[in-house]
This record gives sequence, structure tokens and C-alpha cells, in this order.
Amino acid sequence: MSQGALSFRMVPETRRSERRGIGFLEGHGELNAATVFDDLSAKPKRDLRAFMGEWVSGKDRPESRFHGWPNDEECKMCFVFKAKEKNRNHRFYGYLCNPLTKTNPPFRLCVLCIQALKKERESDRSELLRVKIWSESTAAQEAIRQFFPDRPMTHRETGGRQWRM
Amino acid sequence: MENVKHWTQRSTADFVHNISSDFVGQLETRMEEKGISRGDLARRLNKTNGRVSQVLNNPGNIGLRVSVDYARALGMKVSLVAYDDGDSKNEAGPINPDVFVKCWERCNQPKDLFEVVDANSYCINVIAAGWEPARMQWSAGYFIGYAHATLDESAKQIAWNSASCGFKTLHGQSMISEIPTVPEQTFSDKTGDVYATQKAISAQCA
Repeated sequence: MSQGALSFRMVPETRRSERRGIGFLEGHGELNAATVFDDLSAKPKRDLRAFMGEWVSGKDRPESRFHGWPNDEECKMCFVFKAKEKNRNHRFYGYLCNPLTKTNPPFRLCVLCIQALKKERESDRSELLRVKIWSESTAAQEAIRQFFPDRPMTHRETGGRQWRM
Repeated sequence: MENVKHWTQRSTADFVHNISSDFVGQLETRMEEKGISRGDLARRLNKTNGRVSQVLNNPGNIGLRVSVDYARALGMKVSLVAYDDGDSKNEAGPINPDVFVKCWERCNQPKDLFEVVDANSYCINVIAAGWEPARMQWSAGYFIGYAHATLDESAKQIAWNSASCGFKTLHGQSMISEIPTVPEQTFSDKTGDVYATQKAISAQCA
């Protein structure tokens, strides 16, 4: 797949934390998570925002709302948020990364890439593999690096504190 | 509303949806941990599977009575908590209820305010020594060492108070034997020195 210039943006109007964040990778036809999210009707969008807030707050369960695949060596960085809309089961697939290795190493970012409608009980492995390819692309890494420059904070920005958290 | 920072700023309905969803998330987590299916829950409540799914899938409509019924069916209780987090404009959204639950559990699940006061004496010592409360939770074990070394005359009392905060084991061992010895000169209430202390203790506990 051609991976020209991509961009990254945080999910708007959701909880922010020093330890976790969620955003969208955009700029390619396959990266549809952001546009589908923006066009969702009120109920599933509320649900998703609430679920995202749970994860950002530090929760790792319930799996009925979001989960990763930590035991899957190939896709262990993949992550999914789920939402129901009448008879449609939305899946927003992404991957986890730590974009602030120098300035805030524990900060974990969920980069949402692909939305799919799920019918079968098991997740479509092909979606995870597509996410994996995006996570390894230099274009995606550059987009995230632009959003999170990972430079040390100035004394003024930290307010004199050594710890950001 | 201009410049919305959190989606629950828009309306009370949005705020209610968020906190109801968080509540149902607690129930679903409990069900996953205990291996309870929606069908099982429906039987316990004497409701249809469809009704239970409707409630769990549409938390925005859940009422207090239903909340209590569902929680009780899962062996849990419900408290309705009002709090002031200094965010009167609600720019950050509601605090997840599990934050309150974890704090309560860390304080050894006090049953009344008197037990809360007992558990808090350790925390007061730490804050008085200059630590940021937010940092305290993250590396509680290190703070115990800090308090031990700087307040030597009351170290045992602090240790026991810490135990009542829920920090009974660190790295799989008993808390008191885990308190490391750190050079006295590293301790200070200045940020830079405290940072050095944290690193020193961290190395010993690793």
C-alpha cells in the first residue's frame, strides 16, 4: 500500500491523561477510523467516547468494550474499541505505542486506524495484520512524531517540577 | 457551547450517559471476572435476556433502582458519590468510579470515617514531606522508605499506618522488611533531592 504523508490527531472532546491517550491516523483511504467515528450517530459515538474515557483513566476491562491481544506475538500491539449501533457492531482497530520515550516513557498512545463492521464472533485477523503494517510504516511513525515531538520540556513548561506525571 | 473540551460539557444527558456507561462497565467487568453471562444475570434478576441486554447496551437510560438491582444481583453495592475535583466547568469529564473504588480498597475498605482517618495518617506524613499526592500512588513502596528514613523515631508507626493504607506487600515480601536503607543526605523536601532519593530507592528495590 502506498503510505504517503499521513497525519495524526487526538480524538476530540475526550479525557486527557499523562499516561494514556487515543487518536486517529489519517491520510489514506484505508485509514477510515476517523471519518467513520466523525459520522457515527449520537448513541454509538457517546458509547465510544465513554469507553475511551475508561481506558484513558487506566481501566483495562471490560473486554466487551476494548481489549488488546497481548498473547498474540504477531499482533500484541493491536487494540480495539467496540461499539454497537442497532444491529451493527463497530470495531475500531488500532495499535499501542509509546511516543514519548524521552520525556514521558510510560505514556501509551492508542493509534486508531481502521473501522470495520463485525459479524463473526472472532475478530478478523486480516484487520489486525493491516493495522500491524500501518504501525510499522515510517509514514505513520513520522505523523506521530510530528504530533508528539518528544523533546524535553522547558523549565517554564514544567513549572519547575522534574516529573511530568 | 463553544470550545468544548470534554463531550459531557454539552448536556446533562451526555454527562449521565458517561457515568451510567462507567457504572455498567463496572458491572461488565465483574461479570467477566466471575464468568457470569448475561443469561446468568437475567436468571438472577428474573428478567429476560433481551431486557438485560437492553439495559447493558443502553446505559444512558438506567435508573437508580435498576442500578441497585443489577449490582446486588452481582454481589455488589452501589454508592452515589458527589465530589469536587476542582473542575467546575467540567473540562475533563467525570472521574471514573474505579478511581474511587481503588482508593477505598487501598485504604483497607474503611467502613466509616473513623477508619478513614486512621488510614490517612501515613498519607499526611508523606504530603507534609513534600511529595506530590499524584506521585504517591504510583510508587508507594518508595515513599514508605522515604518516610522511614526521614522520620526514624516514628518509622514503625508509619509502617503500620502504611499497611492500613493497603500497601501490605511490596515486591512479594512484607512491607517492613522491604524498607530500604538510603543515605540520609539524599533526603530533602526539595524537588531535585527527592528525585535523587526516588532513584536510589528504586535501584535497591529492583
